[in-house]
Amino acid sequence: MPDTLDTHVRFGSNSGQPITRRDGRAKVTGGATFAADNSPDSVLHAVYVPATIARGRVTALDTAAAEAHPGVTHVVTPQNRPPLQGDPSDKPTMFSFRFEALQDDTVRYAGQPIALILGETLEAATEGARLLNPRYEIATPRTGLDEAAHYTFDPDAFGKPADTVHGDPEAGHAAAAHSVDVTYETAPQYHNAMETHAVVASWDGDRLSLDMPSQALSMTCAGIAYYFGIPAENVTLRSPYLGGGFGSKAIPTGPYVLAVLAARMTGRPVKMMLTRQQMFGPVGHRGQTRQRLRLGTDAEGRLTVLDHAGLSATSTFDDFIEPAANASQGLYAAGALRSTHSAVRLDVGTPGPMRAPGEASGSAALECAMDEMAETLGMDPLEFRLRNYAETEPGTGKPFSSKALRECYAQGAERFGWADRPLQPGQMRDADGLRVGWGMGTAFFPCPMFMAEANATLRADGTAMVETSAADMGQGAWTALAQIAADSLGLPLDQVEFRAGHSGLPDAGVAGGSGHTATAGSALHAAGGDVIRQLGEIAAADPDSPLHGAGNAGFTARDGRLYVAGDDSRSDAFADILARAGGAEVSGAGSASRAPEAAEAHAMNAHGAVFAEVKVDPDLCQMRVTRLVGAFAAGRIINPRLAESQLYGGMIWGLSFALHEEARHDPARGHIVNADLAGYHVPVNADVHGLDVISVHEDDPYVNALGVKGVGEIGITGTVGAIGNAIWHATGKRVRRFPIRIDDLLGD
Amino acid sequence: MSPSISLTLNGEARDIALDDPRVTLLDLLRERLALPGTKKGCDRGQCGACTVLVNGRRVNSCLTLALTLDGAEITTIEGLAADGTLHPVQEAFIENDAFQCGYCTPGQIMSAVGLIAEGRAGDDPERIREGMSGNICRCVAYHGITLAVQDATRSMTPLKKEDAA
Amino acid sequence: MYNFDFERPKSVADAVKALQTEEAQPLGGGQTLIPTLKQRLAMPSKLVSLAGIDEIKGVCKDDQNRLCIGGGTVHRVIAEKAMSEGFPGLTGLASKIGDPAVRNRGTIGGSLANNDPSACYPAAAMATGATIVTDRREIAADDYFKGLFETALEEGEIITEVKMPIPEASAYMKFEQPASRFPLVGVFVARFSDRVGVGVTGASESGVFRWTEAERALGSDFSADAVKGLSVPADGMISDLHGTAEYRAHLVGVMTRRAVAAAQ
Repeated sequence: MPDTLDTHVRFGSNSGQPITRRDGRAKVTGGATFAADNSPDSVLHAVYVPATIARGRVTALDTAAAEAHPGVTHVVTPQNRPPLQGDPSDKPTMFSFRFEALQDDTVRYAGQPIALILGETLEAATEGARLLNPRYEIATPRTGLDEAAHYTFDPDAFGKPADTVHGDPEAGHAAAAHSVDVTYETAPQYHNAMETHAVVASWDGDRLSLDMPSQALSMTCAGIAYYFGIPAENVTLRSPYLGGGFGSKAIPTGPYVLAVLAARMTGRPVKMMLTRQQMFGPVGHRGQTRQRLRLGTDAEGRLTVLDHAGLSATSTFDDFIEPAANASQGLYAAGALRSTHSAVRLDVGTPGPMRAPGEASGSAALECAMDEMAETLGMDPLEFRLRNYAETEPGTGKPFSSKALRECYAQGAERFGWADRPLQPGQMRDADGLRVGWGMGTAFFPCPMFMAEANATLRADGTAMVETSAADMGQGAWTALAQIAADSLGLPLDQVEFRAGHSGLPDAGVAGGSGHTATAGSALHAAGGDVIRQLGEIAAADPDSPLHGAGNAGFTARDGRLYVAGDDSRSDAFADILARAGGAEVSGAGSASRAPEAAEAHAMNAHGAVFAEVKVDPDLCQMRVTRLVGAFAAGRIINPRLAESQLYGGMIWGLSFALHEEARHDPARGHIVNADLAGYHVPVNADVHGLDVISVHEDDPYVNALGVKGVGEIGITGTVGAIGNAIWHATGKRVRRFPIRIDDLLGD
Repeated sequence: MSPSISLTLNGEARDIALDDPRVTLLDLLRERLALPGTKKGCDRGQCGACTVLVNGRRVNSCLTLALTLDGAEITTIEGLAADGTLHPVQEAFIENDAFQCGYCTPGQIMSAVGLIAEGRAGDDPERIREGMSGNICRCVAYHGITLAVQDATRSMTPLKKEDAA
Repeated sequence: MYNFDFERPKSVADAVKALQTEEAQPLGGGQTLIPTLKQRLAMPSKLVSLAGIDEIKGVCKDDQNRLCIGGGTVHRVIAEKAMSEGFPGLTGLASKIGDPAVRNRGTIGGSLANNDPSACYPAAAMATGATIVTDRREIAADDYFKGLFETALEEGEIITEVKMPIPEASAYMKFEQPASRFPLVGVFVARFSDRVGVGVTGASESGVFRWTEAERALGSDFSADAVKGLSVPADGMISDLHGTAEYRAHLVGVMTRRAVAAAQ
């Protein structure tokens, strides 16, 4: 084991076990309390009125009609909105967005809040909102990528990706014996977590209490506090469960601030729960992109250049530029690499991070372009990828901290039966006459760490309590983090009380970037280590302990006992050590972030390979994904059962990206015409068949002490391209936009 | 007319006065009867998160006006393990990791209970997928859901299996 | 939702009386009307729930070999009873409407009264030559459907029964809009001893229609090949984000052939 790894614990007693979710019982009995499940006494219901046009001005509202409706208590418009202490156009944190909170009568996108109704009942507030009957001065909306000027920008930490160039791309193009130059488009997509955004807010003096789903509790408190002129520590946020997040619940948006404002204005608790339709507007989305990929190879199929230019849509008032072109960095061994980004301002809500932001859209285009290149070369797509396999990070030459991609390719291809694939498209039919196609794509995702803190307390009875403000949006933090914590303390899982989901706990950072288990887990691991270290000092100094004087040898902890390292004959029970020390508790703290020297020395990514089979009805051009095999290597897997669910989930998101999800704007008014679940297609159970996930073993001594990379997002990457490529293989038709529609296949 | 209804809710007879005829069963449960286990996902009958059993049959509680339920027998997720013992479907959902965030789970479970009671899907995965397709899961735990319904169906009907053998 | 009065009559007569109020509207299973009310696309002053009227529930067969379906019968019951009464084509239709929860609440009377251009039953009603029975008269299907969401029903008129001749063979094929599962195009084919009916829903801007050209062709040769060369014009077909007019016209042909094949 490398000496970077903290060796006070033995993995495998808890970590690595496929235990069921610790919050499972709460979730199957209805006992898991989501934000809107809270109904404090005297709560008022808040409903905001969304703009039904995308660009223009509100000219009239029937406030009197709404006020007259029985049960309506307040009608808030830009004319009477109480002031905020922080300007919604500011960016108080690095990750803040500008938003609308009834500053003025301008409409910048459809779905923007233009008024707020409060009522004694939800029914009254809802009807009051309808009665406002807004009238508009309508300006021509811009919702397509060519309806406004394209621009470039200076990079910024969040939302404005930097361009990256390695080598000489022009020389790479000039040297190419074969090349492709293709442009792919991806549609706007909306997160649509099953739990719509919801908040219950109440004030006590200048202290604010919030029940709301949050992927980043500490940052959310700081963000909200800014707008109300209070210190962040005055905000108490409870977010024990999130009904899905997918990136949309990390940064507070306008509706949340309006609900908090309403609570302060009325002196009563206020509940707001967005409707499904309201999920298509002020709460972020994956912006549409157009990506041009120019690839060149030498005569043998080695990439001389991989040149990826992305155009991403953002709003008229803020920048979140989907960093799609970055997906071409770090994966294939090209002689030259270039990723550039430009943007266009449209009359849409500001996009934001949505599961694999940049990586998903970028991988979709990249993996299809790679397939087109392989086709041009007359080469098997997997062989082409292996020909360009990067042994070190392309461009920088850094070694990878670990990279089992070759094994992913091999195991995935074997399970799928890839070797039997005909090279030419249109060759396969099933027994019912459906066209069959096989495609593949490489999955690729960075494994970042953020910053997190945790505490651990070993109680006198030998049990422990650990705490960190982690967020579980379904990925399994309640379970996986507790497993890590238990290992760090050398205790069985049921001896460890795990506290999370509350802002009063040590900051666990953000549940995003697939880095939460790695980051919060590392903090818990360090906190446990701190406790064990202190316990060892107590025992070593205690003449009555079998461990007396063994401090220099070091200790390991397991099953509630400390052992002298390398000498199992000498051990002492936690509870006995503490009892002799007077029944004291031992508390420890830990923090975590990526070690800068490790980040400097190694490139760190998770990898995978996805293989797809599609069937296409020759009469109807209806497409169905009939098999998906994904093999992924993502470092240490803390809980195989939950990790598999994450990978399945990511792959189906990829399927949905490839074939289903697209918000469509009305050209005249600019609103989204399919802003509900009967028009915006997310997969249902019958859409999902033949899924297979392979977890490829990978030890990584550098990413963090746990060896954890993260599995939350990688499943989307690779999958979209694999399905697009399979549709080509079935039909011979290259469709260069996602989602692929039936119309795109007609007419052949 | 002062609207009121009588119904049996999770096995208990209830007389409920309604302050507003617009109240749906979903909002009645969540906002007025302190039973928030039933979830609101779309309020339009498009997602199934609000599925409950009415007279043993699954319905979308968001599409059901409370006033139309006079005399009905209603079971919500809170009533499924009322005695503290998990229902076989609940057990199977945990075992098969048939959920992630858990938000659609009450609706999925009530729908699964309804599906099994209908007795037409058996443990055939295609029929289960079709029969569960009114319940959207954005975490897409469908693989586990299908396995869970299969498991629960088998555990609840052991005799039928022997008959078939 | 607009506020309204609410009545729960126990008989058709009481329901008709309750519906005499201006802007009163009958409420069947509510699977369409409740979302409509929530979106404020309808603002009745009074809702008259038909759920408590037992006399309009149930399915039986009359002496003219017609399936007589009470207007308040839910899709699930229709699916079950149509099978046992020898009308599997209708079972196929009713058992695939929406999702199971919708089928437990939604009624045939509500569906026909609403006449959504993408509803399934109108295709069967047209293909079989059904009779729509109301509290005051009987209306032939050909005279009943008047376009999108338009029917021959008068204010306050309630569908009490639908009499559907049972074909010798029948099948319904629909191409679903994947999110809502409404048919982009649905085709019901019914073969009787003396004629063939083809009802098409979801496709036309004028609502459900009979594809008479196909009916004639199938009348002399009930086979998928008989309609192979036929097509409906794209003019007048619905075009939306889920499918163009051309695609819908194409689907009408394919779904008809598949329905005929399924009905063999």
